[in-house]
Amino acid sequence: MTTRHEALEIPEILRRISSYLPGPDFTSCLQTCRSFHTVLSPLLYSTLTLCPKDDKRPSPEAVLKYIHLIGHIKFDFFISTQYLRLGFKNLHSITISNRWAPEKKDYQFKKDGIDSEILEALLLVIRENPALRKWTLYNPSPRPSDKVWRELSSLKKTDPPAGGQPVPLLPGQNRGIDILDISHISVTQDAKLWFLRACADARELRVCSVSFMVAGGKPDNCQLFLRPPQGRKVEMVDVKGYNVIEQLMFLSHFVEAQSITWMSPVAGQMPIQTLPLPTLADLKQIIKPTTWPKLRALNLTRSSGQHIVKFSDECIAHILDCLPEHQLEEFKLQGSTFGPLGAKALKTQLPCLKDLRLEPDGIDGQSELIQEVMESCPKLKVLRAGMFSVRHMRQGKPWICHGLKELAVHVDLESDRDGAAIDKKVHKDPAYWSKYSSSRRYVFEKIGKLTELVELDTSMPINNSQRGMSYISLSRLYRDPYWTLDYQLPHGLEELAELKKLEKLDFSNTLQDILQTDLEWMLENWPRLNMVTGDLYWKADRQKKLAAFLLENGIQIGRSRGNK
Amino acid sequence: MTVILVSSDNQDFKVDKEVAERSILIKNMLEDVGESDSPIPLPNVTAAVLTKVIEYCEHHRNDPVQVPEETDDPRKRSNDIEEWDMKFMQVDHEIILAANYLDIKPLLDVGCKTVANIIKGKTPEEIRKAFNIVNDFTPEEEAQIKKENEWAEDR
Repeated sequence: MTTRHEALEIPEILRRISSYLPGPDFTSCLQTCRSFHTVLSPLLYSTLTLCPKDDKRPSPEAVLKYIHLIGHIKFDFFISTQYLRLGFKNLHSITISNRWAPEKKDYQFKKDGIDSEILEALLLVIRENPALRKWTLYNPSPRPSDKVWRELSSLKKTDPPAGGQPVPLLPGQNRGIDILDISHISVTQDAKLWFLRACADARELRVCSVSFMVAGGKPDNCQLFLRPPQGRKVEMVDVKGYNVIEQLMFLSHFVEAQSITWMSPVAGQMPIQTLPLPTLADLKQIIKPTTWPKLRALNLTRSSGQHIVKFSDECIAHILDCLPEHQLEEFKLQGSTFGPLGAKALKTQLPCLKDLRLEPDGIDGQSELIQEVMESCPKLKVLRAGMFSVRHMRQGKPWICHGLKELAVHVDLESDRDGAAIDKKVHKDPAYWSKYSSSRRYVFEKIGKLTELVELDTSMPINNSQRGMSYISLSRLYRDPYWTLDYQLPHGLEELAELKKLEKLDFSNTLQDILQTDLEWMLENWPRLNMVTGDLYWKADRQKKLAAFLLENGIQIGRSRGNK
Repeated sequence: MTVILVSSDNQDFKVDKEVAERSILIKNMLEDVGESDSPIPLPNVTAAVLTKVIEYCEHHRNDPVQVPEETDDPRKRSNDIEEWDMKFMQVDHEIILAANYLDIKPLLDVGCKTVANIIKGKTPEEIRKAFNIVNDFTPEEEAQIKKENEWAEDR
């Protein structure tokens, strides 16, 4: 038999082979010979994960042996000191978390070293690892002291430019962390200045669930930057201790920002929220055309169920008007009103828009905008919004967003009814049925041309706010399928035959009457389908049978969400 | 349209352009050369191996072009090799080397998975036997490496 080891002598090939090996076989390879060991140990030691729950972790001696290979350490502070002092020199990223807080009975997870020792060891690591510029902190305990933040806020980049002569550091340049990702931390008064400076210097900043402990309950001036913030990507979610206006002012300093994600404080949460909500006049002071000249992505989000500060339509429109034309690629708005003024301001961004997500906002509110988006956004990849009426589809131009991958809208066929009364007897009238059916076919024809679709969601809101009832209960009340998209062959399902990349289909909260033949058609025509969400039929017994059929064929049944 | 590939032992192979372009190396060469008819030399691939590689590319000519992996999943499965491919790979490890040189990622993956399947379940001594590898560790070194990496067995 020919010897096979020549292929194994090539490091990339050996590494590729080892990526298919489970743990015990990988370690067997390590023991085989020196060259395997040299090629494969970086794969094992480039990231060091220390978790109190794992009995199996490399001993400090082993770590010491491979320490030059370790680029990323991930650990809970609880077990850190003995490792932190080993002398890492090549770290580029670090993750500190406190997800596994030991309970009293876990005596073996006794915290190793007192707080100050741990923090001293951390300071040592910071100083000895000049390339350590990616920091992720999740609820670290002990809380980093002001010394730690001070050290982090004065990092100097040490890569000299080619040519050798070190360039004198300009204020704000060549300094600071590349990625700073902080969540579930509270920041004391004395640490605050350094913390904010470290934030200001980060190229990519994520601040989530951070509480600033402000002395005496008085708001203070957080404009303590002696240099402008550097962040290109900023995410600020659930920050306590500063009110809306202060947070917005903080964000308005990020002149280099290409992407901003912000969840404004929950309204009226703490007594410290004494300043009023921003009016349009306030906003005009804070946000100007010079504020975010490089912005490509703007996400004003909220957590589900939380009531945040709502900006009015004119405020949103003002923000959009301040952005350079033809530059915004991503816009997500949740919790604030997106009305006609906002829609008008968004027009200048349509040619470059790739990702648009608006919260559904009442019947027909967004329908005209959605049609405009479909016919004017050639680069669109994701659209999630509210009601989209057939009336606007018919009135508008053909859709040009052929690259669309995700579409989630409430398709409303009601407008095609032209106000015809809902009459229990009407469902016996063939003319009614053919008009109803042709509406659905029309919509399917249009959607069927979006051949890049991966996710299609035509679910309805669980409560139809203006009518106060869900589409399902309305349908059952009138004993006929209400005017929603039925995924059935007689109603035009075959128009969707070209959606070969479709993976997920969602029709929650619509009354469906799907048969097994329809499902068989779906399986045949959508080879990548893996999830279907929504009731296939409103009666439990047939629903169960159909669901079982899908499961047999490898399709997961998704869980319906409530309001989108 | 056909192209001519020349192996290291100077044998000519006439292949459809579409089939040859399964190799990214050849594809890039053809782009550089343009419309010219000149044969493409492959000095690192013998005729025997090239025959097998062409056979693989012919069989898979209609497969979608693979997109480069974006993330590395350390637990990639190796049990999803097509039956035809499994029989194909029983022949020669030189195909792996050729696939690496010609940059035909799907063929390289199949080869690597096949070798991984050979390694699975073997002790280090058995692995050495299977691949004719010399053990250049002292017994103490070997024991030490085994002990210090015991934690990784749960990977």
